[in-house]
Amino acid sequence: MSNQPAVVIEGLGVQYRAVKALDGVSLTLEAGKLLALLGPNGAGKTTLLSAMLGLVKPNRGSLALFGQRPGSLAARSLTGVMLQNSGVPELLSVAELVELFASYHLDPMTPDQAMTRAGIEALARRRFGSLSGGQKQQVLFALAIVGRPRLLLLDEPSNGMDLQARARLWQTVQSLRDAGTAVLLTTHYIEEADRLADEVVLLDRGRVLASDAPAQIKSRLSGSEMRFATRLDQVALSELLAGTDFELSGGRCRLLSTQPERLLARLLHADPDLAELEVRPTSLEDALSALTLEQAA
Amino acid sequence: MNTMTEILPRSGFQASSRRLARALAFETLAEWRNLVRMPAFSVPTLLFPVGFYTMFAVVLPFANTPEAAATLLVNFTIFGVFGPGLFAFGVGLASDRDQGWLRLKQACPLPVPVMMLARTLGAMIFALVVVVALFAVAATLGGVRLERGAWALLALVGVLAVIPASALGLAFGAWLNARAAMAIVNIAYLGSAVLSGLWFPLQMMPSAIQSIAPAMPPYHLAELGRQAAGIEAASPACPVFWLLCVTILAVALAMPGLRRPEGKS
Repeated sequence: MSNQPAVVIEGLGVQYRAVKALDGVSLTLEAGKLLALLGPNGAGKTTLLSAMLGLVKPNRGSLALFGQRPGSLAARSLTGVMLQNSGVPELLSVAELVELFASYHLDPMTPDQAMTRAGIEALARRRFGSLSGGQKQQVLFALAIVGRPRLLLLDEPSNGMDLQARARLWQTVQSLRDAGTAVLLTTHYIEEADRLADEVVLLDRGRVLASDAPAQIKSRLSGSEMRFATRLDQVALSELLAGTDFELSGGRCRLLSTQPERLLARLLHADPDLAELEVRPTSLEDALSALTLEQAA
Repeated sequence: MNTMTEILPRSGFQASSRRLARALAFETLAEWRNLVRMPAFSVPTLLFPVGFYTMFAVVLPFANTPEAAATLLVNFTIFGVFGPGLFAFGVGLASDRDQGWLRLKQACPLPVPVMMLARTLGAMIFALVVVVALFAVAATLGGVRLERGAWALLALVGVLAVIPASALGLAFGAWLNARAAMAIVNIAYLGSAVLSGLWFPLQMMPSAIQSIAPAMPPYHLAELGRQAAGIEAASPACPVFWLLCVTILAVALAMPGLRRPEGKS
C-alpha cells in the first residue's frame, strides 16, 4: 500500500457537449511529491481536479486515487481539498468550521493544530463572513488539512493571500509533503510552481503540453516580450525576424523571443529611428500561448 | 507525523460508526447554528406562526370553544413546523450548491445521507423551538387545555412533520437555484398552508379549494395533529400512509436533481 501512487491518471477525457475539456491527460503523483498544474484559464485545470474528486464523470480513460475510485468514500477519506469559490456558511465561526471538518475524519488534527498550521489561530472566533478574501483562503486551507490527508488537492490556493499568509501556506505545504503527503496544486504563477514543485505539468486546452521538473519547464517558457514603434513594413520585418512570430499594426510591433538582444541589434541596424522600445520578461500566459502556437505549428 | 502508518491499518477503508455518529452530531450542530444565526430564516419561521396564532387565538375572538381553541393551536403548530424543514432544504440546499459549499462537502468523507439527516435534525430542533413557543402562548393566553399526553403527542407530530417538509424542500432545492427557490418555496409554504385550511377553516372556503385540500401535505398533518390533541378519534393509518407516499415521491423526484452533472442547469 505504501508504495502505491497517490494519483494515477491515464488517457483521461472529459467532454462537455461539443467541448473537450480534457483530452487524453495522463499523469502520476507519488506520495511525498508535489505536482504543480500550470495553464491558462480554460486549460482544464479545474475540470481535472473535479474529475479527481468524482464530481465530473470522464468519458474515457482511467483515474485512481490510491487505487480507489474517485468520489468513493475510501478515496475521499484520504483526500484533503481546497476548491476555488467555495462559499462557506458565513455565519459559522472559523473554529466551528474547522471543528466540523475534523469530525468527518477518523484521525484528524486538533482544530487548534490545523488553525495554527494555516496561520489563522488569531481568527478562531471570527465568523467566516467577516474575513478578507485571503483569510477565507487560509480557512479553506485549514479545512483541507485538518483530516491529515495523504493527498492534498489545492486549486489556486494562494489567491488573494498577502505575502505573509502565502509564505505560511508554502511552509505548511512543504512540511506536509516532506511528511509523505502527495500534493497537487494548480496555479497561475510559475514562480510558485518553481519554488515548490517536484514536477510541473503544463495543461492547455485539455491536453498536457509538457510534464517535467520545474527547471526544464522554466527554460522552455523563459523569454521576453518586445514592443516598439518602427517604420519597417511587414515584409521587411518578416525578413529581419525570420522564424519569430510578430504582430504589426499601425507602425507598432509586438513579438516574443528567447533572444531579444540579438533581434534588437538587427532591428536597430535596419531602422535607426526605432522608438518606444519595451523589453520585459514574458508572463506565463504569454509564454504558454507561445508554446501552444509552437505545438500547433 | 507518521500519518500513513496510523490511518490505514486501524480503519481499513471502512468508515467507523463512531466517526459517523460524531460527524452527524457536529453537522447537526452546524446546521442548527446556521439556521438560528440567519435572521432571514429564524425571524419569519419563528415569529410568523407565533404572531399569527396570537392574533387569531388571543386578539381576535375565533377560539370561542375549547375545541376551537385546540384546533387553532393544531393548525398553527403544523404551519409552524412545516417551515423549518421546507426552507432548510428548499432554500438552504439550493444556496449551498450555488455558493460551492455543497461541492466542497461532497469532496469530504461525509456520506450524503448523514449530511441530509443532519439537516433534517437541525430543522427538527428548530421545529421543537417553534412548538414550545406556540404551546407557551396557547397554555397561557390562548386558553388551550389539553391532557398532558395530548401535549406530548402533538409535539411529537410537530417534530415528525419536519420529515415530509424536508423531503418536499429537498425536491425544490435539488432542482432550483437559490433565488428561484426563495420565491417558489415561499409560495409553496404559504399557499399550502391556506389551501390546507390552516389559516381559515376549510368550511369557509370555496368548494374548489375544499376539494384541493387533501392533495396538500399540511392537510394530513393537521388531521394527525387533531387526533394527537384528542379533538378527533385516533386513526392515523391513512394520513401517515399518505405522508409517507409524499415523502418517498419527493425524495425520488429530488434524486436526479442532486445527481445532475455540474455546471449551469
